[in-house]
Amino acid sequence: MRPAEELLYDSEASFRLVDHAIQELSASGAELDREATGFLAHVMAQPGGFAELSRTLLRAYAETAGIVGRFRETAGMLDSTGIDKLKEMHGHLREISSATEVATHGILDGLTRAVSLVEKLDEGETLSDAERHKMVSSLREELGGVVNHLQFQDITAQQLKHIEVQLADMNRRITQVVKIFAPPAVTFAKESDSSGIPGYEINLAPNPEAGQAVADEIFAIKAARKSA
Amino acid sequence: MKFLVVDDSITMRRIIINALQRIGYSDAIEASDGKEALDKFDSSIGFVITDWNMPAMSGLEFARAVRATPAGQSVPILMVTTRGAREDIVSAVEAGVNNYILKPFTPSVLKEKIDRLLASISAAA
Repeated sequence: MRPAEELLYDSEASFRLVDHAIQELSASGAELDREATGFLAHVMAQPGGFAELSRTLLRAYAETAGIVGRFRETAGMLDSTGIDKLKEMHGHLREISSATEVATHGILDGLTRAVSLVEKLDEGETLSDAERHKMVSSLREELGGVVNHLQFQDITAQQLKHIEVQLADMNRRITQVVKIFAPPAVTFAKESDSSGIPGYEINLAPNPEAGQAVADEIFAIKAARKSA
Repeated sequence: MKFLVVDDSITMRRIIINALQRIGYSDAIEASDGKEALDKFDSSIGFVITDWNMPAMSGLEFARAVRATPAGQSVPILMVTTRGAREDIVSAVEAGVNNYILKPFTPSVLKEKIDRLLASISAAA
């Protein structure tokens, strides 16, 4: 595909030719108006006559159509797929924000309860062994829960990795569009290469509980078939 | 029993190993992707816990590769992943995965799945 700059230059040249031809035809317009046959004779006297004018107009049309085509191609590069990707990225960022907040609250709540248990244990000289054992067990559970909340780091890291791959793809598309419209003298840095990003496809479960229920159902069917 | 824990996230490996210790399993080795896990896999491994999304070799490819080895025909494979689509779960079943946990999980869910898998193996033996 020819660059837009070149197409524009050619179509301008074509239109200049058309303009020139029309000006030549209308130079003797006053007398031609009075005698139609004289007008036709005048046109036919021009090199190429109407046929040449028609050819010039067709060329101008082709060049213009080329530019429109190039615009369409550009629009295609930034079409709904790109917009969908942006929406998807936005969704992932919201999920990351939400997961981080949930985990942070969980960790803070767990630590608050753990500190409270430690204080009670520290002050509770009159606690029975059973009470003490129960509180230590609760403390262990709270601290375990804190560790468990840290899973958000892996989940959000996967979402960020996915966004990174999507952004690299958007960068590639935008660079292609800029290349179409840039003046020929402009040189570009090497197109960004996303192949270095570990771009495995991710398919995060929007609702892990529902996903777990589906998994349990599938594996239960498998187990039942195996034992049958 | 020796566990092989495979996940590219060091945080997740630590969380899983920590959870295993809490439910009574303290013998575990780890690997950061399927390729490394396959290198470490041998007949001493009694249970595999693997993530799906990993560079170099995914958990799904790793499960298939394990099943293709003589030592890996009957070892329980538990997949712990964020992938929750039905077609993903079916692919995991086809690859030879024995059970599936969606992240985030709790140690009690991990224990329940491990116990169930070990019980089914004992029953089959």
